Amino acid sequence: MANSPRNLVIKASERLNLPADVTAGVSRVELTGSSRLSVENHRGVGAFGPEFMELLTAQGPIAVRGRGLSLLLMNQRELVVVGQIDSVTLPQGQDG
Amino acid sequence: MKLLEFLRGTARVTITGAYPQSCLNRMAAGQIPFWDVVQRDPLCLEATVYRSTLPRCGQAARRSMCQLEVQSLRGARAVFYGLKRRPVLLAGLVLAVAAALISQQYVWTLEVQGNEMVPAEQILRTLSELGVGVGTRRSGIDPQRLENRMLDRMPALGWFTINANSMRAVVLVKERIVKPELVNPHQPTNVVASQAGLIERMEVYDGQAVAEPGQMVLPGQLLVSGLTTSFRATLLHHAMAEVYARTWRTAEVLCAKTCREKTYTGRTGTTWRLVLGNKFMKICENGGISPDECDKIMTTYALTLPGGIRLPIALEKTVCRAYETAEQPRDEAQLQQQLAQDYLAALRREMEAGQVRALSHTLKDAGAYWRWSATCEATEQIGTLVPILIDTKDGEHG
Repeated sequence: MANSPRNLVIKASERLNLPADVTAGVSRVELTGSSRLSVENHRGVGAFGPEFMELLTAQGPIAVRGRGLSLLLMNQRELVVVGQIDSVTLPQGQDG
Repeated sequence: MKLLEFLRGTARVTITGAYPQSCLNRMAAGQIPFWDVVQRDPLCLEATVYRSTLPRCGQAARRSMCQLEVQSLRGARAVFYGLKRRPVLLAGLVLAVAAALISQQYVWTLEVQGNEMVPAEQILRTLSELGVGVGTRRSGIDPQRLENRMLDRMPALGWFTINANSMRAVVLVKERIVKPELVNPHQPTNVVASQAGLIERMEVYDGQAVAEPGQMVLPGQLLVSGLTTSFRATLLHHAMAEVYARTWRTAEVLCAKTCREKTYTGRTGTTWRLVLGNKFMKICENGGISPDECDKIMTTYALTLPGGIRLPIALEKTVCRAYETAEQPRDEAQLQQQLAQDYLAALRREMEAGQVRALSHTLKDAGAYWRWSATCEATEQIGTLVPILIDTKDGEHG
């Protein structure tokens, strides 16, 4: 996994100061306050519920916990989760 | 965006299955737009999609082993489909739109602004005589032509225009400022007595006083002269003075001993009329009371919009109280008091300045009439300006 072609592309992008979401298809996660989460370059929804959502990305699943969660918008490129977001768990153990 | 949604039409759908989010993933991958996704229960999701994408949504649901059900349809197509099943409602809607479009071409309310002395009713009446009123077609109003005619008919107005850009026409006016009567301070004048009296005090501002307090003067008698002599020269002045004198006036009035007075019979009737612009429609007649022998109390209930704009639709209620007239003798004391009050009011209007000191009056029998005689004592300003006419041949004349 550490030496996979994707990781190499990501590392090369970082070295060259290029945006990884464009060059390597890395997900772009944007949290606005605690009520709106936008994820670009997603791969779909793994689990869907008002208190827990799992959003699939190339890097792994993003876990969103909260209350009254709903999917405001979803298309091939982007999805937007709204509701009271308590925590966002990123892949590779990075907490939001 | 909402308008686009309305025009395209939307559908609220439920996706039921063991793993409904797979259907969402498939729809997203298939570039089917959807939004407002909420979970009903772990096996059922609810989402909004465009109506035109419903067949593709159904395919995505089937491929995801889910079931797609349409809960409700919204948008223009749904509304018009609903109206198609209700022809009366559709006809009403069409009529309402047509009425709104047609009514915009006409003036429905008229408002007068800028008038202070000239009543708005008078302006509106004159406008009505010129063919402009409630129900007039807006395109038929020519402000320039109307201005000329209005100013010609109403000399009290100095400027007039009408703004009929909407169903509410605004009439803007400016009243003519009357030029005040100017006193020429260089015109040689004398001050003479306007009526007979005993001078009490004089305040001479210019000229030579030829009368003095305590002197009795007759109407037209010179009080202050505009001619003064100084070192063999005669000077002309614009004499000015206030001369207060005690005056006495008498008056006599003949009044008939009887008069016709009305007595209410107790019969009343109510008439209701619907007022549409300048047209009236009688809804309910009164109870057969002759309109010549009744008092009418009219109340108008106008339809007014929340902004205060009065619409040309009103309900008019007229209550008629029938009465009969009969010859009744006049009450002496009441007649005497009324005549005294009227005489005092007339005196106060007649006097330039001053006050009434005493009024004595009597009422005497004169056959079929009452003879009312009054004597009034007052202190009033009797000085009045008279120009000095100068004859260039012989010198001057006062």
